[in-house]
Amino acid sequence: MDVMLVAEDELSMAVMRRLLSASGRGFRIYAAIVAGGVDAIRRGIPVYRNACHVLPHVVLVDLDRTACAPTLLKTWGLEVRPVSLMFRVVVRTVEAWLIADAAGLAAELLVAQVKVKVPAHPEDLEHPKRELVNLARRSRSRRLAAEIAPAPGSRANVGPKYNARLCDFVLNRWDPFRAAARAPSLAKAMHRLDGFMR
Amino acid sequence: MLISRLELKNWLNFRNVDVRLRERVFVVGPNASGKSNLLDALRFLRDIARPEGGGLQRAVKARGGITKLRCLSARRDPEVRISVELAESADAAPVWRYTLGFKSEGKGLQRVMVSKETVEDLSKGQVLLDRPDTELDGADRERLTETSLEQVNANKDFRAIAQFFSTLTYLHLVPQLLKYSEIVGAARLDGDPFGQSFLEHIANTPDRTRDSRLKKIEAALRVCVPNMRDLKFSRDGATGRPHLEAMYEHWRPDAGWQREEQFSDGTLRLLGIMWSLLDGDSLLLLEEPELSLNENIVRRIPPLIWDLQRKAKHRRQVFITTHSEAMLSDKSIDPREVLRLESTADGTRVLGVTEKELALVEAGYSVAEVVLSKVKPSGVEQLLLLL
Repeated sequence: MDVMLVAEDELSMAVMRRLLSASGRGFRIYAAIVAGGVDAIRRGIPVYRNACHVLPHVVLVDLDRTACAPTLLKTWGLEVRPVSLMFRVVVRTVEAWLIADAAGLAAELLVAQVKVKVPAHPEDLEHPKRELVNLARRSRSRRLAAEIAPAPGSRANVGPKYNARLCDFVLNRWDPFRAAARAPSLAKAMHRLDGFMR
Repeated sequence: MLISRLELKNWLNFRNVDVRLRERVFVVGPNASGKSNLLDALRFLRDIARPEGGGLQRAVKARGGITKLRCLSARRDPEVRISVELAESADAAPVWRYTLGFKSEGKGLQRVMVSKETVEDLSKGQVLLDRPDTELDGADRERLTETSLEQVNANKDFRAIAQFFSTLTYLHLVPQLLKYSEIVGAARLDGDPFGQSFLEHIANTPDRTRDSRLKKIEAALRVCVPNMRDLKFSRDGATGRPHLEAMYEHWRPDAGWQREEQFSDGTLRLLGIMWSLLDGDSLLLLEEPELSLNENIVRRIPPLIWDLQRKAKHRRQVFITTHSEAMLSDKSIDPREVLRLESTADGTRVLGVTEKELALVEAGYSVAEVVLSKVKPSGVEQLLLLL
């Protein structure tokens, strides 16, 4: 079945692609729209509402600072939505889902898992992205650290190959099933994807 | 007149193309998918029909010979064929159909020979030309090295087509070549694709026409360059060289006049594009007009083109190759105006809009979201890792 994917950024889109293939449902991506920020997704909701009758839509958005997913859905007027519009909220940002596969991420970043305390409940993290960047800084590979974390003194949030490295990890080595055990919002998203349009 | 349908066989990287065209045609596709090659099929017809130095042999030679022209994935069929239908407007019934097929002689000098050339007057249902014919071409094979299109003696009944092709403009204005023409002194290609003679061209336009065009351009340009006023043509008192000048407000009051070499690259490109829109009456081919322009201005290019198409004496059909999401996010773009190129193992395919895409645009998506999200190379992030 063809579906339309909508996500905030490249990394979220990579996660969606991975989840779609992990679902084993044979979804085909008709088009993948990287909206460029949460506001763009919010503005797009009327469009998704219409267009999901043409093509099933799967939309992924970060909860970020909003208190909880139901609040977000309520303020966005999404409590009731067509069955062909799947709208999932990540608690709090998609990096939390990456951290949730602790073993996979530790191997990827070349950090010793015993030395680094990968949080047991990544969804409780205030700033998952900062956490992930800090984790990368402790990598045994200097190059990897420089690629993912910003240079010392830089005012940027991430390093120059943050997206490239992490998208590659997500698509090829990240284990969503292992991650789902520590990230309830991910487990729920996978469950919903499993039953989507059945 | 405009080209309402284009068919190609074995042309460069296209094995088979059959598309309908409208007044504006946006050509999108990944890098190296052959956007420029598609436009080149039309430039090829111009190169044949051009009164000065036109002709089939030369047009093929300029492209490196027929072996370079013929599609690599063409297997047994050695013929390259281009066919166009011309109509008065996009929704009107076509009036003319011109078809040209050619292939290598296969022996001796390996010249390019016309294997098919037909002209149909579709409004009258008449075939005006059908070559090779047994009478003339059969008697003299030499005739097949030339098209009837390129010969004034032979194209009398369909001169309109020859004229239409020969006045087609291809513009890929390179601001630096214009600004530093004296220093660079670069050679000029046929048809001046890089806009090096843009200023001379303006200089050779009759005063009244020129002034009225510059006024229209200034008005249209105000949206993009709000502090520019009094765009005008001038000649250098000492050298007689033609120049464009404009007053920049909010600039130092006594130094407000600027010449084209001080205009920004983006402004110059826009000027060139707008002048071309007002200038001719045939097809205009534009390569990536979004270059060196701010996204907010790129967003305004489609309405700008629409505007000038209506202000011009003759409404030119415009082909635009683009990578720009901003340009195609304009909601006034009819999805039927977009051609999407897709590379396959069997050459590049040119796809018009599908029913699903039409429905998605109707639901509120922009053409950029529906079409470009497919064009985007999926492995860009991965590509970065290989560096």
